[in-house]
Amino acid sequence: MGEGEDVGGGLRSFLARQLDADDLTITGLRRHIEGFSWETWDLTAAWTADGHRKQRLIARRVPEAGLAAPYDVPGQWELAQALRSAPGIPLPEPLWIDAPGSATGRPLFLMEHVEGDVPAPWNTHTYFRDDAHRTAVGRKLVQILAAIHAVPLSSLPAGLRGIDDLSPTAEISHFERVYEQSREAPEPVLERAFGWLAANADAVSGHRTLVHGDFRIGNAILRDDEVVAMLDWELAHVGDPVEDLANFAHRLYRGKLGIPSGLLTVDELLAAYAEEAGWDVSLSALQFWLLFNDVRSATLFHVAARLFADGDTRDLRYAAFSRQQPYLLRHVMADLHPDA
Amino acid sequence: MPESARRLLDGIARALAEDVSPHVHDPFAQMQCKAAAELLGNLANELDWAPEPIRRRNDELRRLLEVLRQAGWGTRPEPDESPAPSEARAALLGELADALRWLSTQPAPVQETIDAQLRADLDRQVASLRRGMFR
Repeated sequence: MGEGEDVGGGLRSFLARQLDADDLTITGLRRHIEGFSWETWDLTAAWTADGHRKQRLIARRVPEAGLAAPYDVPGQWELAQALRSAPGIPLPEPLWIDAPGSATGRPLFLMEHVEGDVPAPWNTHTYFRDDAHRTAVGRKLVQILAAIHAVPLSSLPAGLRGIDDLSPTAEISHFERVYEQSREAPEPVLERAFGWLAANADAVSGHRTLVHGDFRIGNAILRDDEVVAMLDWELAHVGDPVEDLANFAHRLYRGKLGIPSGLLTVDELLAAYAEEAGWDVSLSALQFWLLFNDVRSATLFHVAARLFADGDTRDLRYAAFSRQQPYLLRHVMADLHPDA
Repeated sequence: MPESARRLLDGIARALAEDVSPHVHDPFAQMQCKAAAELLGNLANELDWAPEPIRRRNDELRRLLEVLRQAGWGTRPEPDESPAPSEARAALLGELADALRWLSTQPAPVQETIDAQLRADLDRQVASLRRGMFR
């Protein structure tokens, strides 16, 4: 029996219990191969309850080996519940949780499938009708970002990373530990970058909010010109909100237009954020967190290599990443000297 | 590495990428083929049974350390090159890590000089890399 059949059978039994529907069937079960974090399954459930019911669902399952461990299913569930009551943050409705992992062997949660497109940053020059359309979507994303940053910290799950750590650079310390635990040997460019970040930490904004952790066009679902869902909250934490702006502007996500998320120029991004959030982000803070985002990406490649070397995954893409570090390290050096 | 072994690895990589992958219709399995082909090509440049590339890389790391020493980083005893180049590399990387953390405490012009060397070093590494998964 293949993995899909195992997961499908487990999900069918689990959903049948949740919905008290013995006749529940699952069709169209498909595992998404993009991404290196949650294991994502797409399925359609059909059952009888006051007539015939049918719903397309997404299951997020703890991966065999993901880059953003630890995968805290109850924590993600609690965060989703908290954000559902916050204004201005679209996200899929969380529906059911299997925290012990009894359904399929690993913990998971199910959420509604949200119809729409997820534009890639390298397609934004053709995806949108014109510059005005592209800019309008960019501004809507900035509105959502400001709403995320306005969520009261008191409403967030107690286990969220950074919630009890007042250091403005706690997230950097976290990823420095990840780097030290996963590296095979010191990486000169990352040693240089972590040293620089430590010596220049006064560049942080001084604000402390919920941070999405991977906020960018590729994690947004668009439908009829609206942003209808923000996805992939596994890197969410409490920290400096400028980190999210920097991720939006990450060199990996600038696309053919060469601008943040392929949507807005840096000036447009900062102006829109100032308007929505009510405070100005300094270029030095943005530059500081841009460098951090480069460092984090390179660190995650170390994690991928370690997961493969330790036999935690047999996905050869993880092994291949171990040799692609220099491409990301060039981003580190570029953001260390942006004027060079 | 013996030339015959290089040809073997290159051949496996080519077969996976050009002969196998196009006929695999499951997207996940097809990406596995491409990743394997890419990895084999990159591993061929650095396997331990070909110590010369490691020695060459060690020389590059020594040049980086030398620039740092000229900038004021304290000199340490030269790591023993024998018997294994891989052990020498570990020692060089350890010292470079310390030196590059120290660099952040130095004046901006010193930092810029060393960073230019790091950029040049990266450019050399990138020039020898192959990519296949995400074209």
